[in-house]
Amino acid sequence: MTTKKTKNKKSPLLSLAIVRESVRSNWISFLVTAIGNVLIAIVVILILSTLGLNTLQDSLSQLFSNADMLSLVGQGSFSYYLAYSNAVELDKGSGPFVTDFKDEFTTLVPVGFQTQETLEESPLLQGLVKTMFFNPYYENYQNAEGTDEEKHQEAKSLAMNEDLLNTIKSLIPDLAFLSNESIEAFLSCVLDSYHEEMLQNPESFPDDADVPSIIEGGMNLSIRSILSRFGASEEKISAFLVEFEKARTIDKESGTITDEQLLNLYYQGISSIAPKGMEKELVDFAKALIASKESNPDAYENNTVLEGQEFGYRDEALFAAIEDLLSSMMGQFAYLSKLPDFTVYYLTDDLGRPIAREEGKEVVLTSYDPERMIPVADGMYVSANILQKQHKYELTGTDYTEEEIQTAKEESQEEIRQLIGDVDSFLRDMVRQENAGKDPGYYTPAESGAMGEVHGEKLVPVILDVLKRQAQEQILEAFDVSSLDEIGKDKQGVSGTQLLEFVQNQCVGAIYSYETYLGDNTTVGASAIEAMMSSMVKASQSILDNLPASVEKSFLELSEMNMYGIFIGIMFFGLAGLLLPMVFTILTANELVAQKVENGSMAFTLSAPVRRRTVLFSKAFSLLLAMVLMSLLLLCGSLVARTIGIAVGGEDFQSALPIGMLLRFVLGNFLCMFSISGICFLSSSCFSKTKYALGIGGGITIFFLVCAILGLFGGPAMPSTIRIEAMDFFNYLTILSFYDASSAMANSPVFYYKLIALLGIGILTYLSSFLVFEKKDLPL
Amino acid sequence: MTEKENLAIHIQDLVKDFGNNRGLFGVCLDVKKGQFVGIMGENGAGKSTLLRILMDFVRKDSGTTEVLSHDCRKASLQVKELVAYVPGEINFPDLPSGKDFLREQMLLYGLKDTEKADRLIEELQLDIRALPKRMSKGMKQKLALVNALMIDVPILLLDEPTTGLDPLMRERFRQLLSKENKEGKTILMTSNTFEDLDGIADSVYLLSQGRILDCYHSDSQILKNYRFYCVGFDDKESQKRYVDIHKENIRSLDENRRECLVQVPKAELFSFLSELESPTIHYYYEEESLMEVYFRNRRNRG
Repeated sequence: MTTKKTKNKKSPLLSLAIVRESVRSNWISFLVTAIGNVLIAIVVILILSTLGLNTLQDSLSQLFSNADMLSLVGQGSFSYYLAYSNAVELDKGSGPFVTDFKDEFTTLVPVGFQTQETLEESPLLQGLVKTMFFNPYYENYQNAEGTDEEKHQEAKSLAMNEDLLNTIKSLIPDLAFLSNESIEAFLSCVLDSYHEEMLQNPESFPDDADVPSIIEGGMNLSIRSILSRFGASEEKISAFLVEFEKARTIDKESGTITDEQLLNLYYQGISSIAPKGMEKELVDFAKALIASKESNPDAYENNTVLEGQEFGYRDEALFAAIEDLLSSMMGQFAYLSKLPDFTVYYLTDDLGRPIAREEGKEVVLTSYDPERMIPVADGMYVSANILQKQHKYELTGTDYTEEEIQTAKEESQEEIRQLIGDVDSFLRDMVRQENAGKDPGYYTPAESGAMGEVHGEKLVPVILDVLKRQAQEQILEAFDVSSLDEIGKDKQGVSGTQLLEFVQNQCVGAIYSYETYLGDNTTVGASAIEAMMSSMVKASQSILDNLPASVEKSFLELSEMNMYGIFIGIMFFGLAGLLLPMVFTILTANELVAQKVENGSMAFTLSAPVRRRTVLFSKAFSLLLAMVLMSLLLLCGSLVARTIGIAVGGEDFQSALPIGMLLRFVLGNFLCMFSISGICFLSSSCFSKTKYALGIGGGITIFFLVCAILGLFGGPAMPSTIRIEAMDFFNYLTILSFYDASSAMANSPVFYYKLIALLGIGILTYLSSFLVFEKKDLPL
Repeated sequence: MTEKENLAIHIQDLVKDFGNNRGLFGVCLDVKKGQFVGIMGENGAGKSTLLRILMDFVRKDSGTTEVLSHDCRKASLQVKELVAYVPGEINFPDLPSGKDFLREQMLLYGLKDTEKADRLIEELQLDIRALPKRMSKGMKQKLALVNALMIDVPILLLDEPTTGLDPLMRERFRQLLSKENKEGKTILMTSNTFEDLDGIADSVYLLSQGRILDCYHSDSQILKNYRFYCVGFDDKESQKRYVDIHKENIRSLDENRRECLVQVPKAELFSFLSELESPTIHYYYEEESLMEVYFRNRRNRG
C-alpha cells in the first residue's frame, strides 16, 4: 500500500492576505505621517521661494570675491591714512621748511665760508675775536661752578648778549647778511666748537685758540644741529658733511661757490633729512617748490590769490608738489597688490625676505636657496603679501616678468589717480577751513625749527567719509539696487546700512592697527616705504584675525552656498523630513511582528499553512510599500510646491532647485528610510516583546537622528561663523550621513556611491530579520 | 497499512530543555487516526510545549515528531494543512468583529465556502459582531473553535480549551468535540481536569515535569458489560474474606483505607448488590469515572 502524502505545493513568498492585514492595521498612522510630512515639505519650499536667499549670496559674492571690498578695507584705509597724514605733514611742515630752509641755507653757507676766509686772512681780526668773544667766555667758564656742561652753558649765556653780538657784527661784516637769529644760532655753535676744542687741547687755550678752525667747527656743528633737528641719521649727517667739506674746498680753490653748486649742496641736505628711500621724492618736491617760488617770489611769499583762483599761489604750489610726491610714493607699492598671487612655502621676515636659521641666528637670504630656507608648516601656506611679492625671486626662483609688472602698474594707476584726487580735495578743504578761521586741528606746529605733529585721529573721520562713499558704491553695485534702503534683512538677509557700518568699522580698525604697527615698527635697515608696507601687511593680517571668526571667510563661503539647496536638501530631506517617517516606521515595524508575537495573535497567522518566511516577507513588503508610497507622495508634493515657488520666487529659485536635485533629495530620503525601516524590522523580529523591539529599534533610530543633527554643526553646510569643526565627529556615528546632500546638490557620483551603503544596510537587515525569525522559538 | 502509517501523530523520544528542569524529556506519544487522545498534567508540565512543537512554533532539541508521516519541522507547511490549532491563551488580532477575524482567516487558508463556519456559529450561538478583544472567555473559545473547525482538516490540536468556562459551556464543548471525533477527526487535547476527557477520550496520558508517567486507555467494551464499585469494609478481616471470595472480580485493593475496587459483570449485578447487604460492609458506591479511579490508584501506588 502506498502512503498518502499531501501534495507538495509550492508556497509563495508573498501572501496577499497578510499584506492586506498589515495595511489594514496601520493605514491610519501611515496617512497621518505621510500627509503631515508632505504638508511640511510644501510649506518649507513655498516659504523659501518667497525669500531672496540666493540674492544675498550672489551679492555678497560679488562684493567680496573680486576682493574690491577687501582691498578697500585693507589697503584702501591705510593708503588714505598714509596719504592724508603725509599730505598734512608736507603742507604744514615739510613744505614751509623746505622753502624757508633753502633761503637760510643758501645764505648761511657762503657767509660761513666767507667769514672763515676773512678770519684766516686777518690775524688781527682773529685776535679781536679772541679778545672780544672767546676770552670773556673763557673767563666766565673758569669762574663758573658745577659740571663741565653747566659751566659751558653759563659762560655761553653770559657771552651771548646784545652788545657782543653787535660787536661781532661790526667786526665781521659778512655776517650782516644773516638774520639775527641765524647769527645767534651760528655763534652759539661756534662757542660749542670752542668748548670742544678747549676740552681737547686745554693747554692751547685761551691764547693759542685756532680761530678759523673753531669757526669751521662751529659751522659744522651748526649744520649738524639743523639736520638732526629734522631727523637725519648720523650716517646721513656724516655723508652730508663730507659733501659740505668738498664744497668748502671748491670755494677755497676757486674763491667762490656758484649758485648751482650751492643749490646742489642744499638738495644734498634735503636728501639727508628725507626718510630712507624717499630721498629722490623729497628732493623733487623741494625742487618743485623752489621753482614755483622763483618764478613769482612775491606771490609765493605773500601767498597771493591770483585771478580766477580760489587759493593762494603758494598753496597751489604746495598742492601740486605734494600730489606729485604722494603719487610717486604710492606708485612704489600700489602695483604690488595687483601682481599675480603665488603661494609662500617658506618663512619670511617682516620685510618679506626668506630667512634661514644658522648657528642660532637669523640670516636673511638674498637668492633662491631652498636648501637653506625654512619651510612653513603644512596647511599654513598663505598667499604672498605685498612685501613677499617684492621678493618673489628669492622665494620661488622666478621673478615677475616685465609684462606682469607693467600690467600691475597700469592697473594700479586708476586707484592712485582716485586717491590723489581725493587728497587734492582734502587739502583744498583743509586750507579753506583755515582761511575761514576754523582750524580743523590736523596739525600742531612745534617751536621754530622743529617738525610739528600730525593728529592722525582727527583725520580718521575725514578718511571714513571718503571710504564710506566708495564702499556704498560697491555695495549698491553688488546688490544691484539704487539705495541702501532696498537692502533689508527680510529680503536679502542683511541690512544695507548695517553692512556699510560693518565695512566702516573694519576701516577704522584697520587704520588704528596700522598706526600702532608703524609706531612699533623696529625693522632694522628698512626704508620708509618698507616700514609702511610692513605695517600695512601686519595690520591687514590683524584685521582678518580680529574679524569675528573670520567673517570675511564666512562671507565668501556664504556666497558660494546655495541656501535653497542646503535648506531643502539637508535640513528637510536630511533631517526634519525624516522624523515623521521614522515615527511611523518605529511603531509599524513593532506592530507587524513583535507586538503580534507578544500578544499571541501571531499564533493564528502561523497556524495557517504559511511558511514563517512568507509571513515575514509579506509584512516587510507592506512596510516597504508604505515607505515607497510616502516618498512618492513627498516627491509629488515637492514638485507641486516647486512649481508654485517658481511662480513666486522667479528664476533665482528655479535655477537654485532644479528638478534633478529634488529627485536626488527624495531618493536620498527614501534610502535613509529604507535602511532605518530595515533596522526597526530586524529589531521587531528579534525580540518577542514590544518594549525591547521599540526600545532598541527606536533607540537606534533616534540615536542616528540625533547624531545627524549634532554632526550638522560640524559639516560644510554650516557657515564657518557658527561651525564647530569637532562636531563633525558625530557624522561618523550615524548611517544618515550616507545621504550626502552636498554631493546631491553638486550632482556628483559620490552621492550615488554613498547611497549604496544605505541600500546595503537595508537589504542586510531585512534578510537578517527573515533569518532570525525563521530560527526563533515563539511563545505561542 | 503498517502500524506507523496508521498513526495520525507520532512522537518519539522528544526532548526540549528550557533549563531549570522545565521542558520535555524523552516523551513518547502516539495518536492513531480517528482517536481522541488527552494529555493531562499539572501546570508547567509541558503540555502546551508539546503542542507548540507539533505546530513548529517551538523547535525541539531532539526526537521525532510527525503528523501523518510529515516531520513537524521540515514539512511544517504540510503539517499545517492537516492540522487545526486552538492555542491555550487566545488573543485575537485587533479587528473590529469576529466576522472580520473569520474572514481574514479564511483568506489566509484560501477557504471560500462559509457553510461549515455558518453552521458552527449557529450551533454554538456565537455573536460574531462582537469585538474579538472584548469578548468573554467563553466567546473567545467558541470563536477559536469555529476557526479551527471550519477549515475541516483531519487533525485537531486543542490546548486546554475549556479552562475557565462554566460547566454548561464545558458540556457543550465536550459534546461538540465528541461529535467531531465520531465523524472521523483525530483529536489531541490537553487538560488539567478529568471531567473534560472522561467518557470521550480513548486514551489519556499523564504528563508530569516533562515526562509521561502513565497512560490510561479506555475500553468501551468494558463499559458496556461491567460496572465498577468501590466497597469499603469495617475491618481488615472482613475485607480479606470478601477479596478471597471474589478474587477474579477485584481490580485493586487498598488495605489502609479498607477499600477495594470490584468489576461486576452486568449479569451478576443483582447478586453482587444483595451481598453488599452484609453488615461487614461499611459503604459502597459506583465508580463513574474509571480514569479517575485509575489515576487515583496510580497515585496511591506511587
